[in-house]
Amino acid sequence: MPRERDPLVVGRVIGDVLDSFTRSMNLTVSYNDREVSNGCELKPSQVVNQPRVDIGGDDLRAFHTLVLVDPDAPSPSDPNLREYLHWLVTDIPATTGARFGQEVVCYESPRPSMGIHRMVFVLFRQLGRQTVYAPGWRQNFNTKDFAELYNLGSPVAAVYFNCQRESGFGGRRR
Amino acid sequence: MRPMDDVWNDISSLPSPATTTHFQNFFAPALRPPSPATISFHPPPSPTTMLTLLTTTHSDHQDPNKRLKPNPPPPPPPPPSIFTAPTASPPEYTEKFRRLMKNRESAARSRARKQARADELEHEVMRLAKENAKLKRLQKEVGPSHVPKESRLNRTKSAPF
Repeated sequence: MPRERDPLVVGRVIGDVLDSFTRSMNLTVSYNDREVSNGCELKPSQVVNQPRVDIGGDDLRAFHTLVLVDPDAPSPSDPNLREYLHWLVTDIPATTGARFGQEVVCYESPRPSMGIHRMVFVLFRQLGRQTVYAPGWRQNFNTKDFAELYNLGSPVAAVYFNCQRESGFGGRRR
Repeated sequence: MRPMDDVWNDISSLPSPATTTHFQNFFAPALRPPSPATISFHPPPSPTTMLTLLTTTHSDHQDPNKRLKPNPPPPPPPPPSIFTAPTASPPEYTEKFRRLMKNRESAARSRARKQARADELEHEVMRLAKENAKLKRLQKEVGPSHVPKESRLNRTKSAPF
């Protein structure tokens, strides 16, 4: 039986946050010129400011929504705030980046205190330009429900990184 | 301390996973996340399910692990945790078992993290190797004596003769 090799599945992003989907667009996330690849480790100090996000595609009239969620809030062993919404940007035209979109929920920098958290970027294609309402609070956001509510369909791209407390010991309770 | 019967009644009155909705109500106060009510531990029990069940019934509990350390002699009043009766018939509810399961899940997450990172890097390597091979091929086709176009003299249509 072939072993599952998709990092999104192995890392349980598909499962905990998303259903299986087919990648169809380029999504490049960079913090300080350092590109995020699945499962890479970034410190809170490296992700204080919002990253540069570039998306692919070829039609400037196609608009996209980007979310950043933490499914392991407040702690991966007891994620009762899953998912914590860190960023929500809509109306991003294809071939451009997040800075060309509408920031509906402003970027909140990750500051995990317990455990090693996965921080997941998800990109959706919108049916057209649309108004998206910010949820009343960041915790207990549900990406799947949000996508259904706004008819976003399946994701077109996703990438995640790991983040733990600055001084390490993310996996140990003291 | 509540009698065990009360606790069992509480557990069996929790909503079943099939009927719990997952929609976030955007215009109402935040609801607590749905907790799976299944208590049949068929091997191997789903780690997330087990832990969520145990932790939501401890919702007003800060940290059971911390609580144990400063109490070396067994305290005369029974510990506040519902499931620490050492002789409780289902051994799954002892603190020791809880810690064991938590550790197992943590270890599983750690392995998954490691494996996911390795898989991602493998993909990257394959992608870069392919790109490298392609670029080398293109380089060969153009020829080793390739000179940047700007420094070459080219006859163009705009020449006056």
